[in-house]
Amino acid sequence: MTVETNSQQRLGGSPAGFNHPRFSTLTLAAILLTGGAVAGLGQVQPQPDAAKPAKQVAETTPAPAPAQRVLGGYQVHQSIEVGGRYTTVSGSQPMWATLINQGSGGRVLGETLDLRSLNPAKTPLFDTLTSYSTGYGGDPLDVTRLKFSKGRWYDFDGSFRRDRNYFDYNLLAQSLLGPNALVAEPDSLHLFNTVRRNTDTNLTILPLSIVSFRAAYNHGTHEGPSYTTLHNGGDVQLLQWFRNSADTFTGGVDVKLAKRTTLSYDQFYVLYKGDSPFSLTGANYAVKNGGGLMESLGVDTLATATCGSGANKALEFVNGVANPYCSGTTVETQSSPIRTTFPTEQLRFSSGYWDRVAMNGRVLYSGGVSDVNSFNETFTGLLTRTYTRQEIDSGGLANGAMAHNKRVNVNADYGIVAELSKMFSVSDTFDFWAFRVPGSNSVNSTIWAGTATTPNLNINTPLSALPQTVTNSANQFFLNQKIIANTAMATATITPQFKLSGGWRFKTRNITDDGGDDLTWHFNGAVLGAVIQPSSALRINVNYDSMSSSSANATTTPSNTYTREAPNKINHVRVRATFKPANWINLAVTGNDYIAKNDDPLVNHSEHNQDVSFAATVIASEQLSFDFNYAYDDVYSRTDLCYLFTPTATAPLPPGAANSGTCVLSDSNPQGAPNLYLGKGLYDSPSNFVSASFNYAPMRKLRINAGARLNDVNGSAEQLNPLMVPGALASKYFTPFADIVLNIAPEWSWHGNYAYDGYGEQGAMNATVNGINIADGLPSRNTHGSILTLGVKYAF
Amino acid sequence: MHKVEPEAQSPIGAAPGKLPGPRACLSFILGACILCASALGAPATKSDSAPKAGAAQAANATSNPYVGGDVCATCHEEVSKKFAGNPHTKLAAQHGAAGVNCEGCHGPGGAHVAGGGDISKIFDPAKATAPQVDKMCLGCHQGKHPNFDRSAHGEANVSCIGCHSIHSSKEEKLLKAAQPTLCYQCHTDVKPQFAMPFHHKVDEGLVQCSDCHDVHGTFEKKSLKSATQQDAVCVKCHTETAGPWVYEHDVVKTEGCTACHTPHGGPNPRLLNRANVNTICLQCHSPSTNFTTSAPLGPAHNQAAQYQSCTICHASIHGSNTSGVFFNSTE
Repeated sequence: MTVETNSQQRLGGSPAGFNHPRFSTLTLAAILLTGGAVAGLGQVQPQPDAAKPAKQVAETTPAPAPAQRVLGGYQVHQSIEVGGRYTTVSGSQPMWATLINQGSGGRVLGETLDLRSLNPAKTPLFDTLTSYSTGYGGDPLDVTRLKFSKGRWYDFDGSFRRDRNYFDYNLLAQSLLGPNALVAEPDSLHLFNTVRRNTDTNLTILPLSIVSFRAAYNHGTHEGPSYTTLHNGGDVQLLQWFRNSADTFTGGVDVKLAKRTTLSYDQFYVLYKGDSPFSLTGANYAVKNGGGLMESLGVDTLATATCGSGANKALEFVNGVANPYCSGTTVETQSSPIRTTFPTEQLRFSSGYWDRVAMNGRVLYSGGVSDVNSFNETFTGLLTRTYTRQEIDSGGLANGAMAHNKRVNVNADYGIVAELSKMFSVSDTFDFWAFRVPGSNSVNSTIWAGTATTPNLNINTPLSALPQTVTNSANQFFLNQKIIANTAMATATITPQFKLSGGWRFKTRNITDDGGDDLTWHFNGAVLGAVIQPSSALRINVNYDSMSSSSANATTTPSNTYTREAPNKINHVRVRATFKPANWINLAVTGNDYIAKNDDPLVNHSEHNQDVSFAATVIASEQLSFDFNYAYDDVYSRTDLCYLFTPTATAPLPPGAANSGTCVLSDSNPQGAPNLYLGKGLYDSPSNFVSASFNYAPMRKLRINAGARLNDVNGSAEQLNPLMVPGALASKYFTPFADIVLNIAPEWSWHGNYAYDGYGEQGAMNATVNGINIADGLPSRNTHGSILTLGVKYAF
Repeated sequence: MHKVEPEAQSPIGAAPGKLPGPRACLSFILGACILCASALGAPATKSDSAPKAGAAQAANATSNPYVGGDVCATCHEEVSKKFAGNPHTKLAAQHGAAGVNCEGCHGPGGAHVAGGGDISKIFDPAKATAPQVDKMCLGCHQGKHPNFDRSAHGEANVSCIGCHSIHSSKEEKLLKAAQPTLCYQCHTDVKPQFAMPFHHKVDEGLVQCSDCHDVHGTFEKKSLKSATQQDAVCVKCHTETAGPWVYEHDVVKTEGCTACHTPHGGPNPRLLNRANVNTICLQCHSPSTNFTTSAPLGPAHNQAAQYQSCTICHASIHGSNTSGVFFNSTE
């Protein structure tokens, strides 16, 4: 019989901090409630802008602060905040894990360290050192930053970041379920439970000298289990264990050749290792007549297919037992280790030697190579289409390699700004970018297969009964692109309060590929801008960009673009205003209108992204401040598209579908024309965003910060299949919060924070088709929960 | 005020209650003087007149227009004290001096002091125009930010002190506020994007605006950074999508990641441009020979049938070494 899978359990890991015992959390909370320490917040909610208060209050008794400490010649400030989070969740646990992923448990909420030398001459290692960390102990993300420097000798800064990427939004890659569904799959078929870690370090030696040196190292990893899918031998779900890493080494030298003139050389080396093998998630079904277990996802909503012949002819599954004459998979594994290097050289210069002229430029060359070594893929099962029972693939290149690719990239850029007079200046930017990506592979395949006349061929047929053949498939492809662009601008400062700029942007683009394409386009566009600054309190910026593309040779595409959905005409207007009428109030308004289209009558693509937003920060006094934001945003697009659709009782034709002669099948798709429909590809996502918060410090020992944020998306889209629902496209996301910091003593403070996250979908949760609610295996995605954080901070 | 020779004492670098050594003070003054001469001494337009006017007047008032940071501290004590931890003090080591003192940015203070604190005799960035401020800062920082004049911020008159507070910052790089709060003050249209259900974790503190954008300008559009090999900056973290591949999904390399994804945030999973994956694909892969564009056309899969998402089968959608139709396996 069928077995419902629990994806979360099968992937082994839980979302971060999810399953800590409630008792230990409550105990910790009780301890914290009885203690006291200085606590900062800073990490979860953004803080109001640091503007001056309305009243310049004479400095009263300052807030409690730790005593000055001197250690080893350094003035030392440290703090550590420990505590815990108590989380309660209602509704969809997968959505909570996908969107918030915060669980209960103890935490190291924050740590800071600040060392400043009292006498640099007596502290040889460093003059200043600062670090801070947050999130350790169970948060889905951790961040640590470290900086230290020693005068003219060196600067160092580094960071470490970790993020648990848990994704289980069940509308993505969710095979549609209907009455004939074979396997209920409540989770996303492409579920992720991976972790990204990124370490970044940068060292500059002799930063102030005529010659200075730079060294940097970045290490990024992406690890953990995930699900993916394969349409081969039925529809199978695969367990793919991500193990990818990239190391980037950088060395550079900067030479100050003259006044405000620097020549720089950078050498980069990137080493990427991709080791993400996959295998079946696990067998689900018994195969009739023995032979072990066969894996098949079985999501065919039209599960009336039959396999076999004569007395063996039957449906795919009967009482949960698989028909051995149908396609199925018992083994599917792949190991495809990728090793990629990108050695890259860059030469840069910048010069402001002449007061009225500033220029800079760079030349870059990158010659990357990527190899797939020791490739192996094994399929065992039955492919009825090719009568294959088993196929083992390996690399056919030297030393068993399977693929060899390159990325060769050249950049050359130059920019100059010249001040012709007090009022008038000109600038020009030239860009050259060319890359080519040739690749080749060779696959040796050992295949055990029958033929159409092989009697009784099924998934239990022994391999020894079938002939074995060995084939080789070798392929070569390439993709090249070259872009040359130039933007010339002129700026007129008519008065110090009013500046106009205008210019022209030209670009030529050429693409060639192994398919014989040699396509060239020209792009032209205006660039206009205005700055209106009647006073230091008010600045208004207005910018307008346009672009239009045209063919440059006879073989280009009629739509004047490389892809159908790329626009051939763009108009973009942005208006931003910031107003600070007094020290205690900041106002900002933005209007942003991006309109683009591809006016080919057989494409009919149009899109816009329109935004109107407003922000205000009011600092009424030293004790009280407010912050308010509102934004309306509308993202819209449509494109003519063709799709095949065979209506059924449970899958009627989508609204607005037109059986149009515009949609003409190609020779490779010989399905009947009456089933080909023209759609509009409509997508509209209007949203409203509101946030408000206040900061209140009635006394020096107490600070309260509270507010709320609401994001309301009321979108819709053309759903080609009626079993699909809008999901997050029509949703509300509400997050109120409150935060209290109580300073008990100069070195101690207590901190409490409450945050609520409520996500709810406004559209249909599950499809209703012809009055039938298709609810199997698609639970509600609504979720809401509270996170109570209690912390004790000790600053010393 | 009396004429003051280069000081033997300086407030900068001194902790409360402690006096700096004479080497630190001398290097402080000398370094500042040399810096001023090289950064500001070249002939300039009238728009850059404030420091020059101050210098000219100071020269008239006294033979040495510079008075030294210690003199400034007699009136601006609070500011001078806070400057001890400022990275500008580092320039002290360049010439054995004590860093960039007040006059390194505000110009010679002689006339200002002689005028009894006449604010018209000293360069005040808060009252100067954005180009004047930029010119002053870029006098030292040109090499680090060579694209600023041509950048969106530079052209929009968002001067250096629009984001940086030299005297009173508690944030890294002397920013007025931490990211992204600082950026949201003007980019009010971006803040709601990071509040969408699916978003890069900027508000959570994991990712910063400066991870993807160089706010001082680059040669790329929208001041975006690039990966080392000049792929989109996205592949610095999303390394598994970079390739190169045998079978490239051309649009990834030619149009970029934003052809399918919206990088800040949105209501669609995996930051896709649309909720329905199929309509993203069908925009280009419509199975019609009438539709204009180069190959490939799309096969006519029955959208009424079992597969909600093209990527259930075409899972290696960013590129593949084994399958020309981006299946997970060899074909």
